[in-house]
Amino acid sequence: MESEKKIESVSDLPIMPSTIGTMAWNRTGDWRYLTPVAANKLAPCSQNCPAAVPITDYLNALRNGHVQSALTLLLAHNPLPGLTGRLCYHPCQAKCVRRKIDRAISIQQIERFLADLGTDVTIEKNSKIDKKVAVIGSGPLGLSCAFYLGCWGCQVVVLDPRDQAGGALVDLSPEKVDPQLLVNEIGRLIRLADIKLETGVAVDFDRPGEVVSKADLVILDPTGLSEDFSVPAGAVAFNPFADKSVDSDIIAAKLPQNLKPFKAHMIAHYIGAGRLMARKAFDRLVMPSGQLGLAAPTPHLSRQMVNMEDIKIEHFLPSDLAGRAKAKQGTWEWERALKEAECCLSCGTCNLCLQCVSFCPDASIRLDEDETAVTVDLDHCKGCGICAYECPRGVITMETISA
Amino acid sequence: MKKVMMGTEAAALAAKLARVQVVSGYPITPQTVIVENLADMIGRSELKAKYMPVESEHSAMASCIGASLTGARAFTATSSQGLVYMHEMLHYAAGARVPVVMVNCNRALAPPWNLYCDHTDSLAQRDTGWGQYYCADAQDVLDAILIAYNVAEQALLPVMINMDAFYLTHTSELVDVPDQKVVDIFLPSYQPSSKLDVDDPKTFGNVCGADLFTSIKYRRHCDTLSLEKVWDRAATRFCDLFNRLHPTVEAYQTEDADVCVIGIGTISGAMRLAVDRLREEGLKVGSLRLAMMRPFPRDGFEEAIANVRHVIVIDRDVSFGAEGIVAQELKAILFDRHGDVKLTGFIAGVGGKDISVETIVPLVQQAISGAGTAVEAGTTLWADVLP
Amino acid sequence: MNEHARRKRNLFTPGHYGCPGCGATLGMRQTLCALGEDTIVVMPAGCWSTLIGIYPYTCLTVPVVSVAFASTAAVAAGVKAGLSIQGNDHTTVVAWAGDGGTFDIGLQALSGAAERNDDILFICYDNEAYMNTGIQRSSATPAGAWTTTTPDSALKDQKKKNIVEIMAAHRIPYAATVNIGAPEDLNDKLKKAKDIRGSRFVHLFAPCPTGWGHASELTIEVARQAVKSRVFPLYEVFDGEIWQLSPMADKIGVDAYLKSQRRFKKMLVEDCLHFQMQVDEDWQRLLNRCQPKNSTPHRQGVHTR
Repeated sequence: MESEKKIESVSDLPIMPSTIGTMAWNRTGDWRYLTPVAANKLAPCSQNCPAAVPITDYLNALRNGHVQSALTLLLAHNPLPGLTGRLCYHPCQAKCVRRKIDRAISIQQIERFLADLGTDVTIEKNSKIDKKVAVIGSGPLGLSCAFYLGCWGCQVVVLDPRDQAGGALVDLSPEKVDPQLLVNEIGRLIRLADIKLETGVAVDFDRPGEVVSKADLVILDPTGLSEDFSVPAGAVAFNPFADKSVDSDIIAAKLPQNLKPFKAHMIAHYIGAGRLMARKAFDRLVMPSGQLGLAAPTPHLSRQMVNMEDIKIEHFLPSDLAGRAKAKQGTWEWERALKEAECCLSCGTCNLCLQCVSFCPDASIRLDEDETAVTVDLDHCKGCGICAYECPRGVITMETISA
Repeated sequence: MKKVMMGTEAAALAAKLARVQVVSGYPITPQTVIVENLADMIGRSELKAKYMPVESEHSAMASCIGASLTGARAFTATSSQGLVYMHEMLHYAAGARVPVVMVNCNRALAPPWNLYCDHTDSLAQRDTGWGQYYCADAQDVLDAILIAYNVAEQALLPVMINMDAFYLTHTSELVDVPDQKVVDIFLPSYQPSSKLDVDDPKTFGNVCGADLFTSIKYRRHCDTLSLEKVWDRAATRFCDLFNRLHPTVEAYQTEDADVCVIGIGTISGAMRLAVDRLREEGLKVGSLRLAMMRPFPRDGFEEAIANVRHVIVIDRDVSFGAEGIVAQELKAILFDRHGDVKLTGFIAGVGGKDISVETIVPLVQQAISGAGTAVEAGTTLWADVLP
Repeated sequence: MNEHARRKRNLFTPGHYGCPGCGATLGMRQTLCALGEDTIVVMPAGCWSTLIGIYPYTCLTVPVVSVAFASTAAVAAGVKAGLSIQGNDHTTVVAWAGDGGTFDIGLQALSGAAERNDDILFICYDNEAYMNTGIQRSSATPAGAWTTTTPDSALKDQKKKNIVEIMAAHRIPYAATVNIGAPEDLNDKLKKAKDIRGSRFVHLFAPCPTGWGHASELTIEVARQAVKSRVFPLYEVFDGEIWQLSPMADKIGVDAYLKSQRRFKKMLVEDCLHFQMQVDEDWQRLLNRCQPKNSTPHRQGVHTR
């Protein structure tokens, strides 16, 4: 706080009893016993997403016109959005709070729109380290697993016995998945993670080739293989949902019953499973406390959850709840996607609506300097709780914080 | 240019010459001519000002304060009931250090209703911190208002110009109206050093702790005391330009006097005549009109009565339960000389009862001999009481 | 309104002495946001004159005069006259008084200013009692409410005085009710009032956690409920003749509103029913006054419910 001017002698006194400074020196922050904490929480849609995509984050980026950022955010958590944007059964939309007002946000349509933009994006990755991984099987699980390991720095090669990559996806009808689309999606995934893909390579564990024998870790994705596939000798079955740690250098994904056989509409589950596997595999390859850096994967997962009851429909301004255009199928054009993204209530995720700022009787919660978040002025905040109560999306909570 | 006019007309004319910018008007006898004339002058654009026909005297002073805080020259006039109604705002104006000039027509306070000359109304405001000046005649009214703006705007304190109800408000006299151009030299436009300004925002008058409050009041008290000197200087300058004197005290034959009769307002004429008559009878008597009552014009007063042994005060007012206010003020000033100066206080002329030579001479004689018709009550002697 | 958050010079700064959750401080903040820098505020004794700061410091960076209780409208009128005669007709002069300083002791000066059509914007921040002196009743206190001078043994009998009706009777160009819980509406109306010449009166609803007995975080919620239950409906009056409703959420009963504040706790069931009846009557009277949707020249999109 700037130091205030003082009146120290009669000659300092203005003749008319007028003020010489503000009240900023008065630390009304000392009054409070609860402190508002503004922290993004996981929206119901993201909570329900098997891949835990931070949906509100990329919708906010899109509504602000930052299309590249939106796509980048999406790709960093779902490397096959063009596929999920067509195949997924979108459990996210089932939990969309907007349903209480009119209808769910068409998240899938937006995801598809972003994916199809195909713009040249890059995502942040760790630099490559000397850990080699061989992923056998290029279905969504294997690809996802390979993608994340690649982003975190491993040198990954994906091997698939078939000529086309995609695993069971290849067997879907062209109406369901356009073959060119499949190629483009996988191609983008490979490029983004800076990994390699070799199709038409059958792997014989009795006579492993160079890739497999040099790999520090071999991961098998048997999803697309027949029911009676048995795990080769030396490979340990690994259930990414249940098993805590990887204990072998050769692991084979073992999925729960609901994911066998391959079901296209469950694609997000496979992607999520792939990431879980990658997480635990990485822990085996690299010391947990080690060089993860930005690849502390999905930092948003450590966010608290926000429940549907925490979203206060009434506190949205009339302009937030403006009328919706009719729902629409197919691939959307830019304007339509943007309009839809604008309707997202951004549950649990601060989208700088600034209701907290405008309702503070003490001007003690503000948009910060670089206009990316709100910060609480701890010197002056009296802890009245209005900001927390009025935040329509449950971002702010009142906490007891010891001095 | 000389014209015959009433004191109230002179007051309105003075406000016009002073180029006041905001006039608040609420009618009360015998001030009404002032606000009427100003309404007309402003209506005919003879005076470029805003006229505010307010709904009470309290609002009259309030609006003058508001206008003055923006740097505009503000004026209003009132009397008795109106003056005491705005008592709260008088304190406020002085505390806010706004140079408002107000004309007060000294009139008795109700109940019972009485429209005539009495000084209790303004003297009862002596603690508010306004400069107070009491006029002798219509010329004094006109000139004093001009001097008052000069003084007020220098000291940043409001000044009250008082004139006796009916004796001054409604009596026509010859008045020399000064030239506007010369008045403009004497009284340039008001240039405040501090005002309500959106480019330099401040809060005026918010809550204040005891320490600063004390110093603020101390400072104000010092500045109020300085009004005597500020007035003297302004009056001297006025005299240079207009060749008329308006001292803070007006002494008549006090240099060699043993006895001095003291009063304020239009009584001065009768006092001088009484002095002449009593001197014929051999009494070494003089008279003193106190023009300024706040601050008490100490320097002028002490010089005038340096040799006086007996002061006879005629109060056209009373502080109930105590004594005449002027008498009280004088006793305070004379405290150090109480051993060698005697003070006799009379209450006379209240409610407009006429004070003439015939009133004053017996009072002086009663003061000296102890025999007379004025009735004792506490330390006061009341003239004209029913038997 | 949210652009205020991005404004460089803050007209309202923290460190003031307002209670946590004070509705009146938020009201001032929203008001200054709408009116901008070219504003002078005249305020009498009341919550604001003490919370603004201790001399020589203040929390507002517009010029403010802290005046005697009864004199607000008159001082404001004087300020406007002074500015005007010096050639300044653009600065907005705001009289900012509490309910005591408007409905009671300030009413005479307000009526005088309105009769003269003095060019001031008089805003009454209404927390429905003399809060600054410790929660004593005023003529703005609603019937049934507890205050220190209408204690449980003698809850307030009289209805709240209808100040907007009084101001409308003066035929001033503009009068309106605003509520801190409807900030976009408040912003619109104040911006509108700013551009109108002559006397303008705005009645601003400012819940008081301390005096009304509700949690400090519920200030906005209580404000909203007052509008929804039509205890404090939103409307405008043009020239004292044309009454126009502002958009509001659907009407609900007063129950939630009364239950949310401890000051209504001791009301008997029949008092609550009576309260509801009064609200309904007043609401119907207002509806009867208001223009139907198509015939008004002043505004679009009016709810006539």
